[in-house]
Amino acid sequence: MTGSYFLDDIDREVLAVLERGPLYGYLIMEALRLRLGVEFHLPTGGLFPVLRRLERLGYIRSAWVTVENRERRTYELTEVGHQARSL
Amino acid sequence: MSQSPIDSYVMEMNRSLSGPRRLKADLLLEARDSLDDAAEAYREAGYHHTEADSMALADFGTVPEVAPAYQRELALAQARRTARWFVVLMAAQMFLADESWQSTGAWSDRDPAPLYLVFTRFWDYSQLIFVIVAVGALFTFGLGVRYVSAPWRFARVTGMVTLSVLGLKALASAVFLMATPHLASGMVSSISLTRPGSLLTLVGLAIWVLPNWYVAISAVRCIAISTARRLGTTDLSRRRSAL
Repeated sequence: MTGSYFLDDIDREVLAVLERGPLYGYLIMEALRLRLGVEFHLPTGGLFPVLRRLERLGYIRSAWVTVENRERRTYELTEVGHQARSL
Repeated sequence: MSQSPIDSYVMEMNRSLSGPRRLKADLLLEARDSLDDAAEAYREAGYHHTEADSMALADFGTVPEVAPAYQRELALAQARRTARWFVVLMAAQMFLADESWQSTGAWSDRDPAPLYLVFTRFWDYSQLIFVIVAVGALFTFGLGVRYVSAPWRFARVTGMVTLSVLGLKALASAVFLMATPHLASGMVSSISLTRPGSLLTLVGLAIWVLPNWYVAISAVRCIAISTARRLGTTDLSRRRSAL
């Protein structure tokens, strides 16, 4: 199953950002802002439910990882997420 | 020590969200981390502490704006929990109840009335249907989320259906108790301070009744946290569609 059900534009953009490697919330947001520029209107608070939804759908997985001496929930693509990117 | 604007914001989010405690704490912790990261980045860019906090909060969105999306995740988790325990409860009690009317001993010297047999058979099938419906709900909130565009829409219905079935179950148990000769009176007379088996009878009753209460409480929570007002409508989606 490639699992491309119910992916909207922001979901696809998040997957594209995570294709380069694992990132935590704040950096995902910064990467989205850089990628989409003035077209990007999602408030930062709206990103985390998107990430949870993508995780629930099996496109990404998360783990608490120590980054710069702080525990951060870090997200990365799963096999299904990589397949969705290549569609 | 006075609270920072970020502390106040996280407390307001905490007050406005309801649902499974661990998931809620996890969501709030992640929101807090992100706000701290953003404020730190603004400070490093030369902004004053208070200004950096305000800018981080402005980027994050107001509580009324972002809370519904968080609440949907919480409602979904509560619905999944309710459906899961409902399946376990119905399947276990269906299995245990299957032979219970025969094992009461009430019919050892005579045959049950035809109506009684019709009732037990009808209830057996009903329980089977309830288990199938509950498995369907569990699928909707589990693997099925890939096939259902907005599964949280079904969270409130799951709570309502669960409560209705538990009500029917209580009614069927009462009918069974009254229609089986000597069952109710036998249970009452077996509970006595002088009888050593009383404790076992009480523990057995608790094992039978308490899981129903647990599932009922989970269903009530499911209904309470899945109102249209809490889950919102299209506020963030509108912003998302701007992409």
